[in-house]
Order: sequence, then C-alpha cells, then structure tokens
Amino acid sequence: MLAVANLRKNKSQTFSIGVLILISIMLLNIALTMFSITNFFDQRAEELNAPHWVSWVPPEYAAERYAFVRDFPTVVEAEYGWVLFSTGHIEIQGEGRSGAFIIAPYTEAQRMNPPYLIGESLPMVGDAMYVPHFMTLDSDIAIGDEIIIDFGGEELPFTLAGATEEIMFGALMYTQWRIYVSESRFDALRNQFPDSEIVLVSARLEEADETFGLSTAYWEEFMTEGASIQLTSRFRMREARTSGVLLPAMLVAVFSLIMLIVGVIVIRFRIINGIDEGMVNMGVQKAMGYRNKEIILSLILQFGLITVVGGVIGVLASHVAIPLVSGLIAPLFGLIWRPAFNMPLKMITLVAALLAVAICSLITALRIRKLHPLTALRGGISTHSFKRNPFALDKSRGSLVLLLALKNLLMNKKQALMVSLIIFAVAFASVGSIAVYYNIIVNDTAFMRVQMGDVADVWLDISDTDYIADVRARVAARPEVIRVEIGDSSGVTPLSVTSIIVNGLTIRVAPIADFTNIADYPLVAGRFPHHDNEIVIGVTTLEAIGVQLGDWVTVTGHDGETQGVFIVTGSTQSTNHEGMIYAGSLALVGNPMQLSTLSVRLLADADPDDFIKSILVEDGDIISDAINIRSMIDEMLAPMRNIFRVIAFAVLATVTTVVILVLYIVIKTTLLRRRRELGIQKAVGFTTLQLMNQIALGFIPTILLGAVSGAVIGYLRFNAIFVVILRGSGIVQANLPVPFAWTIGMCIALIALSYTVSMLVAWRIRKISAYALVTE
Amino acid sequence: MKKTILSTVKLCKTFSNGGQQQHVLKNLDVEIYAGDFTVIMGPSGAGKSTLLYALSGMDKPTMGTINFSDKDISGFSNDKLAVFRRDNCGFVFQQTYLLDNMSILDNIFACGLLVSKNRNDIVARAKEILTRFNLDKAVWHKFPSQVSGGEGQRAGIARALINNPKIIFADEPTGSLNSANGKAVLDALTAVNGQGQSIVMVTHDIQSAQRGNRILYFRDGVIFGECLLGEYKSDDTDRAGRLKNFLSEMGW
Repeated sequence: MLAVANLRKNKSQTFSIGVLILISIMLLNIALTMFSITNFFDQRAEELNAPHWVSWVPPEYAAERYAFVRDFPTVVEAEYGWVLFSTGHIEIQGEGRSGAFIIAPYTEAQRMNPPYLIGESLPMVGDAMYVPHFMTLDSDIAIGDEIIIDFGGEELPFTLAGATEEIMFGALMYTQWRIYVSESRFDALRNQFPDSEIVLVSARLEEADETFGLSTAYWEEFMTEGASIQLTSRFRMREARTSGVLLPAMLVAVFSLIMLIVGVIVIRFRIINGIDEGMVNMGVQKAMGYRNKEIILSLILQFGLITVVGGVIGVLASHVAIPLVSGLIAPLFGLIWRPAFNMPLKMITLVAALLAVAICSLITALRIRKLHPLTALRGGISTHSFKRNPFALDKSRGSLVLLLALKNLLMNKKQALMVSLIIFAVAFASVGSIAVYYNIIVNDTAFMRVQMGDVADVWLDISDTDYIADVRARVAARPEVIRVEIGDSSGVTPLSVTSIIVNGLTIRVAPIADFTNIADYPLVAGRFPHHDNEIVIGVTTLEAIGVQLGDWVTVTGHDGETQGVFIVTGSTQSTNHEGMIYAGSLALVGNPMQLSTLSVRLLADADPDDFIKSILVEDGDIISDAINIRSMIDEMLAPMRNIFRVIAFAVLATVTTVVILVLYIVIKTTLLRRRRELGIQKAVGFTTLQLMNQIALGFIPTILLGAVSGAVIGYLRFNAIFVVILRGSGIVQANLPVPFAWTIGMCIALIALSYTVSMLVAWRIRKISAYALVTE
Repeated sequence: MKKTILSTVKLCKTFSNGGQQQHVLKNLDVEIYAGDFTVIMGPSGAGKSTLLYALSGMDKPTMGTINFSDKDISGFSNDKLAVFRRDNCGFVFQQTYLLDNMSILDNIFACGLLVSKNRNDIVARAKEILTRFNLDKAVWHKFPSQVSGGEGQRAGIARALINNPKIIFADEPTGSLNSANGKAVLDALTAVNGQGQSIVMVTHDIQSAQRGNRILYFRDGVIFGECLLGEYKSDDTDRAGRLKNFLSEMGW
C-alpha cells in the first residue's frame, strides 16, 4: 500500500526511472539474443545436415582422399560431389561481389546441406541458378531476373531462380559461395571450364567442432602428394558468419549494462531524496507503529515494481525490435534467423535487473533504521554542514547567479557526484561508440589492420611464375604503389596463407618474401624474422602451444618428416593468419612454395580499378587474374557498417534520452526540495530566468566534470576495452584512433544538451509563486 | 499634503475552490502615503495578507488596478513584477524566510547584488544595517538555523532594507517571536520609518499596530475604517486607548 501510494505520488519520476530500466533491459535482451546466434547456427546446420568438415580435392586425388575421410574413426558420414571452382565476380542490382564461386549441379543426391530453397523460386531448368540467400538481400532483384557471373574470366548469363540456405558456402564474410545450376547446364560448364573441376569431400563427425584430429591426420596423410590441400570446417564458417554479429552484440551488451548502472544510481538518488522529502510522513508512519523493515520493504517494493513493469515492457520491446535486428544482420549471417521468445533468458535478465535494484534499494534505504520517529516528525536533523560557507558573496567575485549556482553545487555534493557519474558513463559510452563508428564506417584502415593485419588493395595472379620478379619490380616502380609482396597460390582467398605444423599444431601462416617490405606491419611484441630460421606466431597460437618469444619451435613440413627448428622472434594477431614466416624458409621444411601471386598495397587515394586496368594493359599476358580487394572488403563490410550505423543512432538516441530523463528526475527533485528557497528568491526579486540559470549553471560544472572525465578515460582506454571485448577473437592489441575533434564535439554537445534540458526542466520554476510560498 | 506612493482602483481578488468562488477583495480603493507606517488590521481570515501581497506585486489581482508611483503594475508579467519588487519593495515575513543554505550576510548580499553591481557599496551598506539592528559580527557568518528568531527577523528586515526600497511590506513580522524579540523587531521598523521609510504592515497584534501612524481596518473585502494615530512616540500613553477605541468601533 505504501509502495503504491509512493508510486502514485511521483508519477513522472516513476515513469522516468521505468524508461531507464526499459531501455537497459531492452538492449540487454537484444544483445543476449544476438549472442544466441551461434547456437542458432549450429542448430540450423544440424537441421540441414550440413557437413562439419569440407576439403577441396583435385579430381585425380578424389577417390583416395574420400576413402580416407570416409574411413576416419570419428567420421560418421561422408560424401563427395563434383563442382566447378574459380574466382569470379557477380553483379546484383549494382551490388558487386568478388570472391570464389563453387558451381554445383542441383541434384537430389546431395545429402549434406542439400539445396534448401527459401521463399519464391522457379524450377531448376535451362539457365536457372540458385544463389546463397544473402546475395538476394539488400537489393531489388527479383526471381526471374538475369544475372551475369564473371567466372574464370568468362561472363556467364543466368536467370535467378531462387535463394538457398547455405551453411558452408553462403556467408558474405567467407568469400566462397556455392551456386546451383541445372545438371545439364553444369555438364556444359564442365566442358567449358575443365581446369576448374574439383571434388568437394564433405564429412560429418561425431562432434561437430572436433575437426582438428581429422584435419591433422588428413594433412599428414596427403601432404606429400604435392597437390595443395584446402579444407575448412563448420567452426570456421560459424566464425565467419557470427564474428560480425558478436562485436556489435558485445557493444550493445556493455551499453545496456551501463544503462542499468545509470538506472540503479538514479534509484539510489530518488530513495535518498524521497527519505528527505517524506521525512515527516515517515515519522508519522513510525509513530503509528510501522516497523523499519516495513518502511524499507515498501521502498524496495516501490522500485521493484517500477523495475518489473519497465523490464517487462523492455522485454516485449526487445522482442519487437529483434526482427529489425535480424533483418539488419541477415546479409552478414546469411541464414533466416527468427529467434523464438526465449522465456528463460528474458526471465534471467529481468530477475538480474530486479536483484540489482532490490540490493541497491535495500542498502540505500537502511538509513531509515537510524531515523528516530520524533526526529522524523520534526522534519529530521538538518544535515547541512555549518563548517563552510562556500563562495561567500562578500568575498567572491562574479555573477550573482553563477555564485549562487556554485554555492548550491557545493552544498549538494552527493547529488553532483551522482550526476557526474551518470554523465561520465554516458560520455564514456559515447566515446566508445564514436571510436567504433569512426573506425568501421569513416576510416576502417586501422580496424582492418587489427582484424586482418596488413591487407592488400589488389591481388594479382601471375600465370608464368618465371616472370614474377620482373612483374613485381614493374609494379613496385609505379608511383601509386606502396609495396608489393609475393605470395603463393595455394590460398583460395586472395589473402595468401599456407599451412604448416608448429609443435604439432596446424596453423595458417603468411609467407613473406621480404620482411623489410612490411616494416610497418603491426606486431604485438618482438620483431620480424631477420633469418631463415625465425618465425612470428599469433598470440593465441603461442598460448595454445605454450611457447614464448625467444623459444624454439619445431616446424614440420608437408612431407610429415622434414622438420626445422625455428626461433619465435615476435607475436602477431590477425583473423587471417596465425603466423608469418619467410617464404624461403618453407622450402627448408619441405614446403617449397610456388610464388605466383602479388599482393599490392596502393596509396590511399589511388583507385584499385584504375590500377588493375593499367597493369593489365602492361602485363595482361602474364597476369591471369586481378582482384580489387579493397572493394571486396568494402562489400564484405557493408552490412557491418549498416549495423554500426544503427548502433550509433541507437546510442545517440539512448544517450539523449538518458540525459533528459536523469536531468528531469534530478532537477524536479531539486525543485521540490528547494521549493521554499526558490519562492523566497522570487519574493525578493529574482526573475524566473535568473532562477532557471541558477539551477542549470549549478549542473554545468558537474556535467563538465563527468563529460570530460568520461571522454578522457574513453579516449585513453578505448583500445584496452576494445581488446578485452575482442580477446576471444584472438585480438590482444589494438591501436584504433579515437577522433579527437569528434570527442571534443561530443563533450560540447553533451554539455549543450544538458544545459538546454536543465533550462527546459527548470522552466517549471515559473509555476512556483512567491505568494504560494508565503500562504502555504 | 502627503504624497501617494501606492493606490488601488476597484481592486478585486477572487479565489476559486471546488467551484465555490470566494471574493476576498471587493472593488477596493485604497491609498498608501509615502513616509507613513500604515498598519492593516482586521479579523482573522479577512484577507489582510491577500491585500498586502496584491499591493506589493507578489500576487496578481483578479481585476482592478494598482498604481505604484503613478505606474500601473497590475498588468505586469511575473518577471516584470519580480524586477519591480527588487527595485521598489522590501519584505518582512512572519517566518524569517531567510535562505537556510546561506549565511546571514550572504542572504543580504544575494538581495543587494540583484540591484547593484557595486559590491563594495553593498558590503558596506549591509554591515551598516546589520550593526544598526544590533546584529554583531558573530552573527553575520552564521546560518539562519544558528541564530535566534529575533536575530533572524532583524536580519530579514536588514535584507528588506538593503536596496533602499521605496516601501516595506511586513506581514505579521512579530507573529512568531517572543515579546522581547518582537519588541526589538518593532523598534527596528519604527526606527527606519522615523527616517522616512514607508511601511505597510499587516498585524492582528495591538502592540505592533500601535507603531503605525495610520490604521486601516479591513473587513468583508473593503477598508471598513481608518484611524490616524499620529507619529509614534514611546511615551504616548494614550495611543493604545485610541487604537482600542477605534478597533472596538470596527467590531474588533
């Protein structure tokens, strides 16, 4: 009853706190639902009977390798299928996508992840083609439209006949995409591209993620054959699809927790002020026989009810928002994700918030126990400190309004601290959002370096490797070229990597012809190799094999016998590779590399397409393929950028809402508490504007302190926090720039917003009349 | 001929309460003269304070005009009234109504600095007034809750005087004080009136009312009667009797 009476009495403040809780619970639920995407992926993959492990095998080795996989102890099911495989390009409604294409025949014989059509489709006849689901998103393309695929240097016309739910080869971030054509068309294409034929050997294991044993045995068995070994796993596919979702999910989760903390701080503030405002009422209640625990319980109940109502609405709001989130991440995720209403998860978030609020309310309300009924009836003991009279008007200089504002500020230090803490949290979260927005949407160079290391702008495949050094020299001599790195052709992605075994663990390493070319490549620690027997290894790999810088490791080559001992000179981080080694060193362990690709880094203002056109004119006869990696990465990052645009907007909207709500609650409480004082000031001649300014200016130093400290900590510690968030992805060091001007701009905007909101809320002072005060 | 500092023409003030209308001031015509110590008396609940606050621009009338030094203030906005009050009026309330988060001195400065930017002048003037009202330095830097009721009320008078107001409005200034403190406050008011300060005071206390030279009896929304007591002299033994006679004529 007491709780309900309190709720009725403070409707607007109840509403404001409810909205804060609503926002935090909504964001937390959205984040947690986004985290559940990995489980959904696994579940959907199982429903589609998707393989756990796939290898691309040259046709001549297919039978042998298939037999090996089929008979491997932990493999429960294996199959193979003929496909055509080549790099290429597809244009859909102006959206270009470059990558590697796997053209497969549409056949019912495929058991693992058989083509599963989504939505409207046409029969698979003639030049019909089914593409992965994500390719039809974010475009106006319709079933029946013509699509041209540049495959193996030839332009192939198809009719879009449908979209498939594809587990292994249907992710934007993993640039190998399977498209289905009719069996007759496939046969025709086989004749047209005989060199592109490969066999996909797929396997399902006892445990989906335990592909390591099979991969290692496969390497050891077939590395001597001379043919390249390419394989992938569902684990890697899941990473490719979900990594772009988990980063924003993590940011949303962190932001939601900040909002929850803000909500709890505001509740604490309201309880403390509520005790002051309702002191006499509490005295009456105590005099009537209410026990302390009953009064305390009423406060816990009051804010518990707000949390439950706000939380339930937040849960429902998150459920409404999830389809929007799902649509946003669909291009990244590539599967149709319609998360069900996860009641246990929702309940957990609700109970966690309720617990936080209850504990805060209990701790804050305990002070009621010390309140004697008589003291309370007399309105309590003035808690004002008589020791100091800050900004004594006879000694201080400056505007009267400002001096009075500062006086009030110093006499309400706890309130000032609370506002500062909240603005600190808001500013800190804003700087984080600004930094993420800047590094993903405005200038992603540093972000890409953190994620993938040094990424080339253009990748050139040299058909006649005898001339590769000459081509490299000519390319390097071009004014728009920063550097050129020679790589091998084994990688199906243009970002060249090859596999070696280090202390028994198979890792992907980037073979580097000359480390002096990549002197500015970021290392986590140590230095690049200077000699053939030196190696740089990824931080997470070092941890996995228990090795430190300066230790020696055994590198085993493809023959499984040739070994070399290497000293670890440095550690690196990249989602693209797990180490770096001299290309020449690979020959020492029996992995002579056929260096047939050039990775070209261009000046920032150079257009990769222009460069490609120009280089093909010059060396077109020996360059078999050229890919604009810069635009390919742009295509890959486009959905991620969309997500971060929405997150930036959501953060902006939330920050604005929080500032408005918090200042509304604090200023309204202040006006109530200082009603008498403001009435006196009005009586003696203070104008409403002067009093409004007095209130608003009283918050400015507090807001300034919170905004500046939040911005400074955010500015200085953003990278450390970013690393903590991405530690699971193997990122241990980041040096992402936080735009200084944007940070300053955010501080100014926050202060201006706070001042404006303070003035608007304080405008209700006009309703306090001096007459009402003296006649009360 | 005394100069009129404040006058009203057909002043009305009506309150609505649950659909019921209560007419507190009914077409009231009254003049207040410069230099007078005007006392408004009347039965409890007659609306004496309502009249005082309407005259002082603290509250707006429902109808009618209020002329202050020939300027109609009845149509002023709230902010214009605030500026009017700070420039022309001083207030002494029944409760001290000092700002309790400021020292006594700061309470007076806060008022003075509203009008004058000359800080030194305000400091000197505030200290002079406080000293005049027997508020020594030990009191200046105390907070209102640390001083006695009488000291607080005298500080309130000092605050009312800091801007050299044309008129002081006092609403039951001794109502919450013991007799000794009440006398000190009345002495203070009498003293400033003696220096030409116009004062309008509402009271129901005969001792306080004797300090006025002009008594207005307010009843049923109008000025029911007027009594001129002449300049206050402490040895005027007949003053109380004249006032009592007047009041009994008014039905007090």
